[in-house]
Amino acid sequence: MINVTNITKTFKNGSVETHVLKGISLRIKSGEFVAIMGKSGAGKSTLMYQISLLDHPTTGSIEIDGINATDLDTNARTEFRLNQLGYIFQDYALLPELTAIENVMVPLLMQGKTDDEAKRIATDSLKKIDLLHRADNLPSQMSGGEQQRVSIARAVAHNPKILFADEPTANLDNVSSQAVIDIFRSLHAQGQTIVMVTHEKEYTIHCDRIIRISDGQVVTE
Amino acid sequence: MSNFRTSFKLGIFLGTKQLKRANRSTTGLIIFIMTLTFLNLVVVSGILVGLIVGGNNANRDQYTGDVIMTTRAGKADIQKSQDILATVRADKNVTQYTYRFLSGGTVEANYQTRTDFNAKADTAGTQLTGIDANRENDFSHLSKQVVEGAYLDPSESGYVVLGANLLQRYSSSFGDGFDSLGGTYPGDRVKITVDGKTQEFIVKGILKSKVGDVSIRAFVTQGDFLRLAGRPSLDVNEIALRHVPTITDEASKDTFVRSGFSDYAKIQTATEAIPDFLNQIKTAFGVLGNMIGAIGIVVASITIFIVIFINAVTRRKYIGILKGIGVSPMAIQISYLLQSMFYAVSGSILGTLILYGLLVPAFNAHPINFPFSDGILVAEPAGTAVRIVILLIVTLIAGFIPARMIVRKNTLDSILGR
Repeated sequence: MINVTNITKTFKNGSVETHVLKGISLRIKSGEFVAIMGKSGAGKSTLMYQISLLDHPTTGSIEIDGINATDLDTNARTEFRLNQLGYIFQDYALLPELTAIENVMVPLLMQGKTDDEAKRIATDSLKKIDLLHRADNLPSQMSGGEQQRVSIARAVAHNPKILFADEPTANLDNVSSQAVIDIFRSLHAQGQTIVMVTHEKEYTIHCDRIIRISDGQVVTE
Repeated sequence: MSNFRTSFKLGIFLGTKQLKRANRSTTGLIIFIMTLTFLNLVVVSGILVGLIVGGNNANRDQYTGDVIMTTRAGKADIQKSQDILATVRADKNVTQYTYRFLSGGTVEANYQTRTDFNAKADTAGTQLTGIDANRENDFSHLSKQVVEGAYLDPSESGYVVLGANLLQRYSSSFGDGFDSLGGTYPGDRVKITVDGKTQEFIVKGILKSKVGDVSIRAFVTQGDFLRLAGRPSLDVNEIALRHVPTITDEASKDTFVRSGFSDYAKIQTATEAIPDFLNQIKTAFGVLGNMIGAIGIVVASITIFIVIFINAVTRRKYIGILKGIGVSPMAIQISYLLQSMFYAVSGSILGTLILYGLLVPAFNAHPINFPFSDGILVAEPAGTAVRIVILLIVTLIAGFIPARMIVRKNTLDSILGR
């Protein structure tokens, strides 16, 4: 499903170059639940940004579902992200002026679904994570755990092929973190491909595989 | 096309929600600024033009009517006046008319108390105007302009109503350029001399009009005029008329021109009778008003630019997230354009309500008191509509530029705030 070949990422700040990723190659199969782990600054988030098409690698190629994603132009990448990928961010990244259900509806509306259709799917999605009673609440009216669950509902409502999660439990207490992981387990059980960046080992026990990154390179798979 | 439709729909969705849940005080303040901008755009130029239009209206109301016929150059009066007046009376489109006898002359005051006969007499040049007092009053409402004493009574003889510009206490602002009468009040006696013939009149009233042609005249009844001037015919010097609102001034004028009366009288519409310098001032004021309005537009566009820019910059992370989850840049830009439009439309609607519901009636009821006119606020609906469209277009551009600047930033940099 995901085929990463020898990607590098170098940041330039004036004449100073920082090599964050130093030639990483890996493969992730369809339906896999993969954790990317590493110490702070190891390059795990940077790696995820490249393979989730939020950023461009300096060199190397990324193939997703048979499509060379590194060749896609900006608009095509945006459309690819909309239709094929789902994102969960560490700080939930919900739009503050939209209610829970409206946040979930955004990618669905962008896909061209009607208001009624988007609302129905968003309702189902919130129902699955047991947050339907919060549908009309703004993010500011919800706890961190609830916001992250809404974020998951938004990420999976349009049935993405791959779900990317960047430190999804980093800002949550144990109970909320476990709830998020339980949702991932459930999605994984239904065949969802998940790529999760985390530094918390206890939440990787349900993963099929852990990719460890150190100093911009894969150390173990 | 479908992508545009989808982006448009989502842009409207996002923009509407942002507006709905925005801080109401901030939204109110922005709309207030847009309202002031709109009013600045319309009112400043409207008042400047209104100064002249107010003068023109007074000229039309108190002097020319819609069409005025005056004595041709080199002639003593309008020949065949009675034929012309008969045609005017028969014209179904004419709703009102008046006629005036005119003759240049002088008014002398204070002669009864004069002690030094070597000194110059207290005289002022005037245009003695003989009128049908009731008809003239119906036409030009002269009695409303009387500020001291009373208006002429057609049943009386030997009375004169003096234009205020003939009196020193009203015309001091003109300086020493014109002779004027000192200390003359209703009840005083004055001598009026026309064509070498002099007659004593009692001042019945003082009339003060902002129409210079009216305020410089001395009005007597037509009987007194004809007796003093000793005219051999009943040919008049001015005929002014009003027509029904369904025809234009030009059409009304053409009726009389086609009848051949332009051979005997100079026939002009009210607009044509306005002195050229007033029309030039009107044009200059219009340009000045538009320049001030243009500055207002620039201020409005900068305001909207700053508002949208700050809004977009503070929401840069969320813009990044929207792009990250696949929302098109176009949808995000449309959401900001919608907000810009909302501010401009709200400001324009509120401004229009204030303009036509409050300011225009207020200016009409209480015109600005200028020496040469009662300044009103001129705000033609078509001109206002054009200014609204200009404001909307400028606001759209001012909202689009900052939104585009932020949307074009790198998606990941926006999400991570770097």
